[in-house]
Amino acid sequence: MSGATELVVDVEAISDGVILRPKGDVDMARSPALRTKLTAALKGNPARLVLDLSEVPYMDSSGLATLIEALQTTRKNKIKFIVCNLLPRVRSILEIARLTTVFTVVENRDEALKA
Amino acid sequence: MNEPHIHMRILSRPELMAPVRAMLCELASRAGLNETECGHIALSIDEALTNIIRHGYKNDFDSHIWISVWELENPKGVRIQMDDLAPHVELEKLKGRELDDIRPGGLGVHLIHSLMDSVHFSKRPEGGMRLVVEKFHAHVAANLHAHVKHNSQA
Repeated sequence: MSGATELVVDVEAISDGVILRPKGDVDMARSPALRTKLTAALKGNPARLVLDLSEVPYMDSSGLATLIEALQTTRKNKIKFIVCNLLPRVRSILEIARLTTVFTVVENRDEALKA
Repeated sequence: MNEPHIHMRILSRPELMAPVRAMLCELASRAGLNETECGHIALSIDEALTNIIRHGYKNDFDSHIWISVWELENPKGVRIQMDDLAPHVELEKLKGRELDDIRPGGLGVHLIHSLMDSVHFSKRPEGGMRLVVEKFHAHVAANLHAHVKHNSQA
């Protein structure tokens, strides 16, 4: 589990949207930074928003709440929202909260770009 | 109850959650719990701290939270007690939301109940709330759950 307070989020433009790749734990201290990046990405009204969680070893319910907020916005604006590269602990919390079927979750980035 | 192995007071600051859960993970590992079990403890404590800071202290980041930890020998596991000075909450309100109701928030208490083997909220007579959770090593927990199920069916 990473201990830094700041959450770094890489942003990459793709042909039909954007990929966000947060780096580090997403908890109460850091979920606001992810929310800010997601909100900014959604303001551009992309056709596709990919959240690559390959560098998020840990997420709590604050992080889940941030994802659900983004999901609600994407549904309202007909934006494809795809989550990929879940590490075991993050996949586990999504499963416990029964959210794996609510989000479009795919294995990797290639699948996310085709979904 | 014996003296806790660890007793500490922290400020109600979100940035302290990462070091607290790392410390509890390490202690749980030392007590013989496996990596998954340690992860469950870390997440549960994280959720409890989030609830205290956000709902109990209304995001006042200079309030106090007391954490006590016991390593349990027989059966192997850990007991963690978290005390605060937030206003009392009616115990029946401390339930997670229905999971089919997809919306942000309300998952913390559900996660704590899902991940820990015992969960007990109470009002502290001196003010504030207390949460005591226990997590046991897997085969002990399986026996415990089977015992509870057997008794409830009897």
